[in-house]
Amino acid sequence: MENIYSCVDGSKFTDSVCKYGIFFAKEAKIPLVFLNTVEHRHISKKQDFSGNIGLGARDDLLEELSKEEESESKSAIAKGKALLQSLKEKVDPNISVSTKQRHGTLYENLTDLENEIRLLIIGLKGEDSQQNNLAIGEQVETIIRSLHVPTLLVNSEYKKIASVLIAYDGSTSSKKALKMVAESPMLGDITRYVINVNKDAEKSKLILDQAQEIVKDSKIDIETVSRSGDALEEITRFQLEKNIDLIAMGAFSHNKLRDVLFGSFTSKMLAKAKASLLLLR
Amino acid sequence: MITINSKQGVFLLNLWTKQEWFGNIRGDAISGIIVALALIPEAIAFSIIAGVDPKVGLYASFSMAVVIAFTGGRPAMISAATGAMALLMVTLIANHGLEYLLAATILTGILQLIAGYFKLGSLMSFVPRAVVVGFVNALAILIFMAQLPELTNVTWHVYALTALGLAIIYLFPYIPKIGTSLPSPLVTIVVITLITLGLDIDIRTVGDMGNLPDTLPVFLIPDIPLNFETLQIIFPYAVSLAMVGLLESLMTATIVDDLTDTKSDKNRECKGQGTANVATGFLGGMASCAMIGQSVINIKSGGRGRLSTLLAGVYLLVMVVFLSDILSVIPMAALVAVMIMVSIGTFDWGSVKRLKTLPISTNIVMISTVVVVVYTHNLALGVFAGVLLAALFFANKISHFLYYETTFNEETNTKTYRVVGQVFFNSADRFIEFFDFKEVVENVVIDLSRAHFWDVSAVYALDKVVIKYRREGANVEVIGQNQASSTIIDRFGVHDKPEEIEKVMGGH
Repeated sequence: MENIYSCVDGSKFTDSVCKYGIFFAKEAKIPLVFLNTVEHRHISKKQDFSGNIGLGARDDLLEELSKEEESESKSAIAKGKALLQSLKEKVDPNISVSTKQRHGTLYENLTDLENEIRLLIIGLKGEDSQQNNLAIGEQVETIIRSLHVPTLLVNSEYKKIASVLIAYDGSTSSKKALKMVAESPMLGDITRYVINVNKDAEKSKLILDQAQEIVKDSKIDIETVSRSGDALEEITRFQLEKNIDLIAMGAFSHNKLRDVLFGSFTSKMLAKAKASLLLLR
Repeated sequence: MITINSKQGVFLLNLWTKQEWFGNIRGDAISGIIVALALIPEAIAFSIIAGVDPKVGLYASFSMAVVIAFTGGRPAMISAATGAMALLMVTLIANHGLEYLLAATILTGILQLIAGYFKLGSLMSFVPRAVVVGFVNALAILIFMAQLPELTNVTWHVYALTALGLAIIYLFPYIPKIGTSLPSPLVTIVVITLITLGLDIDIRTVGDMGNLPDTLPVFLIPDIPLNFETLQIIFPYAVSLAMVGLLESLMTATIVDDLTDTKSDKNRECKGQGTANVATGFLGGMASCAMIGQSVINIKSGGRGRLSTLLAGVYLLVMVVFLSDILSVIPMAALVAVMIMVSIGTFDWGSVKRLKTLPISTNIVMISTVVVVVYTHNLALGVFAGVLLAALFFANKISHFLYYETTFNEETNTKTYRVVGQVFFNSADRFIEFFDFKEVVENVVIDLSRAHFWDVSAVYALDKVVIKYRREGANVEVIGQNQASSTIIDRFGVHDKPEEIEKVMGGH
């Protein structure tokens, strides 16, 4: 059974993540799941530097630590439950929707659930990264580098997807990404731009012709764009120019190094782009 | 199209490593100090048990803590010179000297690395809870017993100071405010030392026990002949050390897992212990492992990350190298008091309280483990005895899952025995006893379709029954044999399926 997973924690992007989930569930007629994780990051506030251990020290310590965490976990669960309930109520009754609450970090749980995920939707940064000034949530980085499911990274308010920009460099992975975007029932009738950034205009034209070839059978139209310069800059600039709602890129990594490179490129892209990013792997 | 700059190097550190290292910087920095302070007396005391200079234990504690912080599979667990390991090397040092100990330490590390690569950490599942508890209790008793030489043939001053030391350790934390902000073992050491110096009492001090470190540890290759004879000497010690080291480390890892409600990587821990011991051997330290007492102190003091272990090692070295003159005047009585505390804290008090409620077989396993260890001073032997006993008790319990039903058909003069349950070495004799060989019948049918034959003893028992009936002139027919013996062929894979398990359990 494959589902669309919208990961929610009540932070800034929750609402948007939820709405994108509804949008794709409706378009593709795939069940939607709201996932909330109860993260255990308890750090004891008690300060005991007495450094001694007496009879039954271990049992006492275990008892003490579990008591401290018990109430914290209970309130986190209640908070998550309430959030899931409120989100569920917003969903159109003819969309199949369910909620899931699990213990542990989002990353751990998504790894466990990987086989059930058709599309993963997460916010650019979650609850745990709100205090620091990172552009991208700590967990998000790990998730995009290690999970091999299509992932939508939400970094702005929800808006109906009317156009998508596909970053295309002619590599196998970008070909696959293009195919997925062309054939996916999730995207429906929208404008599809295919951009290639290349110093050599001739080469760029060749690559883009290839792209046209790929989508020929899919009965969809693509608009190809060729640019030269820094890939990141050009892609984000074009996105702003045309006010494109979604940037799609492919990456089928085969090794760790590739994961790292991909992760960092994506990170920079995320930090710069004003549109949400769809990673196809 | 994509370039990497130095900034992106940070991305190479994955999230979990970051969390494990820097998830709790403040807590780790403080707990590291407390652990280091507690490690110093322990490392000295365990060096004395082993019969080497205190610096051997101190160097070991430094190098273990620092290396394991990077290589271990359990963040916030403390590894250093331990009593369990020290006790195993006494005779090696007495007969062959320090250089052989260093070589044995390196070999121990290599064996542990091999164990890690072969994923032997998972063998821990064969060690029942009762044996773990027995191990821990035996360890506590051994640490206590190791203090006795310091408490025999001494003047009354030593008893008085030790008693005072223990009183300070346990009562000081009750003083409001400063009680829980200063480590009471440190207060004990300072107070006892000042009393001895002030009153000019002539008792044994740490300085009398051998050399303290005055320099940073240096890399050196043990000065031993590299031949087969040397290997013959150190190998048996290395095997025991490697086993006990891994056992205590994995047990401690489980304890820390429970306390912090997090998971650890047991095989990584095995490899980490190996790497740390190899490094320790080359830095002039004795073989070491994880410590239950210190790890509990670390958690209690707020340590949760790898940083706490690393800092404990670094603080320890800094303090030891710069304060060696001060260390040498610490009276042994103060150290004994701290060690008695460690022994009391290591003891699993709950296990004594639970003795009444647990089944007798469990208690026998636990107590046997303790007795064997205390008698042999070898924790590996205790664990071996405990596991063996537990396995026997288990076999005995399982053998009760066997019964039979008989029916007799007068028309055909046929007696049918339907055997249900587990037939293996321990129940094979009972299986034979089911059959009534005195009864005169023409035909005997043995229905084994709901029986389960686990081993050759079971097959042998069946052969015996069949032959005996034949001798007595009965026609024997065995049915359902295929189902019964399918597992002897060791195809354990099939038993993951519920319907197969149902068959094995005799369908009930």
